[in-house]
Amino acid sequence: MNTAWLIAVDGSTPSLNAVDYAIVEAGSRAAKPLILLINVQAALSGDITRFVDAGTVEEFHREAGEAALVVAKEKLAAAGLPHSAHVLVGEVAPTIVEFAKDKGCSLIIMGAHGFGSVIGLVMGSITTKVIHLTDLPVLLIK
Amino acid sequence: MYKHLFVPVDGSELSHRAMDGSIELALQLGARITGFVVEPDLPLSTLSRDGGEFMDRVKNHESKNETHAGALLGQFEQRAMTAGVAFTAHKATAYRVAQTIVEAAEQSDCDMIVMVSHSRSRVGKFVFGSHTKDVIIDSKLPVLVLR
Repeated sequence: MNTAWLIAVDGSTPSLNAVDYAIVEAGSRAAKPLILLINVQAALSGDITRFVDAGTVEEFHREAGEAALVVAKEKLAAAGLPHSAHVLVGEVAPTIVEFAKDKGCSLIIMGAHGFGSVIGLVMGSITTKVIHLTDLPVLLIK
Repeated sequence: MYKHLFVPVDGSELSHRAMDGSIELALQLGARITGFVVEPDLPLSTLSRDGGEFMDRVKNHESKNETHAGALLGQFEQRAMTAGVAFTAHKATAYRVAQTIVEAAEQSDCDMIVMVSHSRSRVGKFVFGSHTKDVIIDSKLPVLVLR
């Protein structure tokens, strides 16, 4: 059976380290897992979307998400691993968890930020939420 | 690439899941396991003016810890052996549990820490917050959180 691994990527160094780990780990397996890269864009506030048309908002999310995914996609392509990339919009942790469930993933891989950075505080809370919300194993990479 | 899993256990219901989950994972990866128990140090508040009494308390605490850690690691080893997974037992006594887990994992040359998270309950969140989260923050090694 082919397994699928989800990697949540925000473009940060830990999230790219997570991609590197997945490449090494997947490369050592006889049956290569399908790797799903996802970037979740937090929905814009209603104060903005009220004045900007839906197409522009969608375009904005798509561009920002793809910019975050570009390096990760290149890494996987260079490693020759089967993968797909997805940009989603919504509340970050539940969106990651639901997507993993829908796609039948067997593992969620995320970058773990250290203490002491603002990103670390935000990301740390997302990691914590994902761990709480999902029934899947979560692998955290620094 | 993961050949040596570091699995801290504390004797709770969850740590039994950590034992079974890590053994299953070790079988899949062909990895070995180091099981680890940290016993909390006696808090300073138990210091007594009576030196003899204090020493008795310390000894009592240590022997209780020794028995608890020994029994737990014995159980873990038994399960690992039954499954055919190589197992090393390791224990420590410390004030700072999470930090001790991280240091011990790095010193014993492990390449991944495996822990179990609690359910979504409030109590679960509280308990999860106390050690697993600190380990995630402190550890340079990858941390696998199982349910």
